[in-house]
Amino acid sequence: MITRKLVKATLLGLWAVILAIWLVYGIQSRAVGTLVAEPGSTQAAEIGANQDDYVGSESCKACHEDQFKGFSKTKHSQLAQLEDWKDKATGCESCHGPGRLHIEEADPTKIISFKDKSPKQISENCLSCHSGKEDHNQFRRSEHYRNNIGCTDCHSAHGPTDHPTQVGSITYPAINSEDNPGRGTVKMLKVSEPQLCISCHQQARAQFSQPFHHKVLEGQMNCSDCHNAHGGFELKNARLAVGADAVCVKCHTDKQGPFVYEHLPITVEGCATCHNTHGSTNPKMLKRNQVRQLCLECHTEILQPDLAPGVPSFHRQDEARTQNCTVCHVRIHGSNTHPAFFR
Amino acid sequence: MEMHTGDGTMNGYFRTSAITGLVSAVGLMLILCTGLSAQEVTSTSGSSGSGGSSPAKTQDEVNLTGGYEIKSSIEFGVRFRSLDGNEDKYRSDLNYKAGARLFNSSFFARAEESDGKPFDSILVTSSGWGGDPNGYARVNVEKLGWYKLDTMFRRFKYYNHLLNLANGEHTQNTVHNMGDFDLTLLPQNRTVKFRAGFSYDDNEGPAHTTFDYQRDEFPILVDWDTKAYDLRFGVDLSFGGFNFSVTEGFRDFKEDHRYFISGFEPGENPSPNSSLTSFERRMPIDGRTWYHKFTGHKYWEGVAEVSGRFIYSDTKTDFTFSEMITGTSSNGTPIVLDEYSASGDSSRPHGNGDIGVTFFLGDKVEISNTFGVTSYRISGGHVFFNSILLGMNPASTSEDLIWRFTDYERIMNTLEGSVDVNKFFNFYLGYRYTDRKVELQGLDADLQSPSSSAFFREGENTTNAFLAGFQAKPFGKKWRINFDMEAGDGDNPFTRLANNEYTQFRIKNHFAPTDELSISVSFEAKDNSNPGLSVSNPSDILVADVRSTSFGVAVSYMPNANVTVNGGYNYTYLNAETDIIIPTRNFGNGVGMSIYDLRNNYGYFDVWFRPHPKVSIFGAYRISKDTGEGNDFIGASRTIVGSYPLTFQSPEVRGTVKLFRNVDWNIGYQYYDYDEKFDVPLFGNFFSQDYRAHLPYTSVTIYLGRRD
Repeated sequence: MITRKLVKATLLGLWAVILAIWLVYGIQSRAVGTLVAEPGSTQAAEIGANQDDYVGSESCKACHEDQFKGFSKTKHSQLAQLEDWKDKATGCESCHGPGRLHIEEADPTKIISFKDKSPKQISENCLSCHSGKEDHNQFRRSEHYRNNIGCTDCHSAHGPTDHPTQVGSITYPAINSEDNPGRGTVKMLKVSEPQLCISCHQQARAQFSQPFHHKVLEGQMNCSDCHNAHGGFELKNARLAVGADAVCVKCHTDKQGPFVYEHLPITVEGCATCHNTHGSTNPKMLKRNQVRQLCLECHTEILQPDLAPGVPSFHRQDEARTQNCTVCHVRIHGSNTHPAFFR
Repeated sequence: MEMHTGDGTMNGYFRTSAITGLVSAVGLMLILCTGLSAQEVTSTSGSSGSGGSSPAKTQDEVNLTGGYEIKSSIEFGVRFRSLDGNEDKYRSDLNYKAGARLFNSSFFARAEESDGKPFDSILVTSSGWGGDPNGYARVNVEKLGWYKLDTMFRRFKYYNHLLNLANGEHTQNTVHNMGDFDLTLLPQNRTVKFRAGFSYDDNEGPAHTTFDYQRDEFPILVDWDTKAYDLRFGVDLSFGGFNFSVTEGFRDFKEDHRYFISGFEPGENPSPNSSLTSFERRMPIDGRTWYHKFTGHKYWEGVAEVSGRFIYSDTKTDFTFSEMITGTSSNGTPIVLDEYSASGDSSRPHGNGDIGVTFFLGDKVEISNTFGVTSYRISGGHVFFNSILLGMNPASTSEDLIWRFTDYERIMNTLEGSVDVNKFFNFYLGYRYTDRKVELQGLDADLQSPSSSAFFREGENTTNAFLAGFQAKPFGKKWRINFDMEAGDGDNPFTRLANNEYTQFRIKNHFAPTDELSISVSFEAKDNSNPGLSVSNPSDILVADVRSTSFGVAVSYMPNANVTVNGGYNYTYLNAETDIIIPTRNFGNGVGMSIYDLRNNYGYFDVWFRPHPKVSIFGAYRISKDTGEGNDFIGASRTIVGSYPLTFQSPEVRGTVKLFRNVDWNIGYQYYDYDEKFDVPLFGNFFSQDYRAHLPYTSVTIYLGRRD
């Protein structure tokens, strides 16, 4: 016990010191967020650029017509119209650096190319503008970043990818395409959700196809309703709802509580203790197909910790009447009036 | 074969829906034709609008209507349904009905020039309106530099009537409406942005539940009613290289179900004499949450990054409870009036504090640490009054004061380091320490005796977990391998279903030898063990073991613009074996086992091809097949076996003919087949939940701004 308290105190103390250093250093710092290829930036210096070397996006059009066409319709290209970005956003050269030498010498090494950059390096370029937003703050510590999945693995910086229009299932909405724009279009995603996510997370496709599932493949929900692909402080990149509550209670209002009689697994472990949150072959997306299994697996008189009472002996499992726990324990997610969740 | 609609055979509802759909379709066509005939200006993509209309447009030209490039599609039509088998199960799973539908729609308008227009872009997408069980509409509007509005409306017609859940007595037929509206002002401003949001949630409809009373169980009708409203405001600030966000939010939520019976209820248990002649219960809950969120972020280029978050929310509920019962007690005495009432409140102040820091040691090495504290205290209580008047006896009353308290605290720290060895290989290692503590307290006081009893219980759980992973690209970008693993060792788990001593790893391969072909192969495995000591016999170690593996392969092939083929297979194996205490009639409590097996095979295949420039065909087949052996209770060995032999398959085919440049005609057919291969025992009878549903449909898709 003493060791644990020492560990906690040490961690808290360490972080208080780091926080203080951060604040002091930050206040003294004059650094501002910079675009990667802003004149004077490290990356611009990498190719020996100065202000006169910026030639404008129209100059790129002649050779890179396809990219220009897509890019010219994006917010990226239109930023230069805004006063706040006039000196910062320079069209193609915002990311690729100044193009004068590249054009004059027709030398591909005289421009910043991302073809040979790692996902992390590419992401650094994007984050030079996009970090600082609450949703993106944890990206450099996210599961995707940790596994070397970068921004352009999901997003298309040159604008939405114009997939050919294909008719598909009447039940599952099609991906955004040239004739059928979708949410992926405005988010500059390569493919709409959920198809984008399940292209890597194949197991999720199988889970969302079970008889009981959240309506994600059907388009009613998005993966990003519950997960923040850019990372966060919660495990599994989960989001929170209503401040600090689990994301589930946003829609499942009646489970929000607090209740006088809380059911401890929900309180301390969360909904996923009993439910497969993507989908299941079992009713109510439960982890077992008989509810009593879930109940008895905890309510079995385990000594340490003694938090779940065992079941009384009259709950005979060889009698039909006492096999369905929730027939009597109906308010299993929490009750205000009954300690055994009868009402 | 019999045609069914929502409540039975083909009837007037279907005809009404079809007529309504036809009228709607004609109306929509008129609207769209009006839109089509509006003034159109042809412009070259990427340049400002100029020139007149051109009947023969090239790939580079776009139509401008009122200065906007518009791309839109709307598909509407009629769906038919033929169903045999268990309709309740079908409706619980799918609930697609016959009638006219707006299947899908998409409307996208983008301004060629931003000046003077109320918005630069608007996107409206919708699906499932007009009678489908699920419908949504999303609207995203943006004016560069000024505002961004994201809205979403969702409606779920939730039907649940399953025989294998609470004896088929917990049913629900509700409509759940939800909406989210989020507005950002000055979205591209580099110094300050303002945010405002509103959400609503409304779930209403009839339901059934059960009530355990006088040693019997009674079916109870419920008028289901929950509501919630959220308001949130925030500001994002950037100065001195720091980024801050502050959000203030409020949520108001209510639950006000009404529980009642419609007439005499004899109860389901034949042995006691209990019955209900009247039953009425209300227990409205009125809750509200205030929450405050602060986040901060700072990045020192190439040196370090720090981000932090603090959330404090305070949720409070007030509730009252009233219940009035008349009937007969278990020994046959008339219950003249059994009356309960209570009032109370509860609260949950909840704080989260997190901070993460990453140090960049050159271009190739990063070390990061994330530390978080979560703490909340749930406190609630009520005064509970009961008065029961049995037969000619004088009224018996009781009055109790109840209080419960839960205190939870979690500290979690994750330390990670990653190394980019070269552009083909990187790896990371990490360590996560978690310490959790929970305290439970309670007080039960009899206000009439008076007497009281109190309890206190606590638990502490510590877990040490090691993380590792790598990404390799053996052939550059064509082949990507991701591997990650986590192994944790804990003590004193709070629940036996939670992670304790666990190992999990996954490996994902993505191989794209050409632009047309990609192959993904993945494998995941996890095992978890929760040993615990029996209370009645501390020398007994009761184990909860769960092992699962999952293998998946997916192939996508698009050899040319006229053919696309996708297919995949996923196998999930899960075996959960848990020592449990099982009471039986003749032998009382004793150690037994709960076994749950999942052997799920999921496969899908879809193909799209265009044999003629005006004709395209889509076909798909999906199957989920669990090869379990069914449910069983082996009394002699006190073993509960839970597993499913079930097959759920859905082939689908669709043909599309391009009638005009902007009009397609579609005809399609979907089939759903659910087969559990065993019957559900219920009240001495056996019921099948199998069903087969045929869903043919025909529809028209109208496009605006479609390319040739």
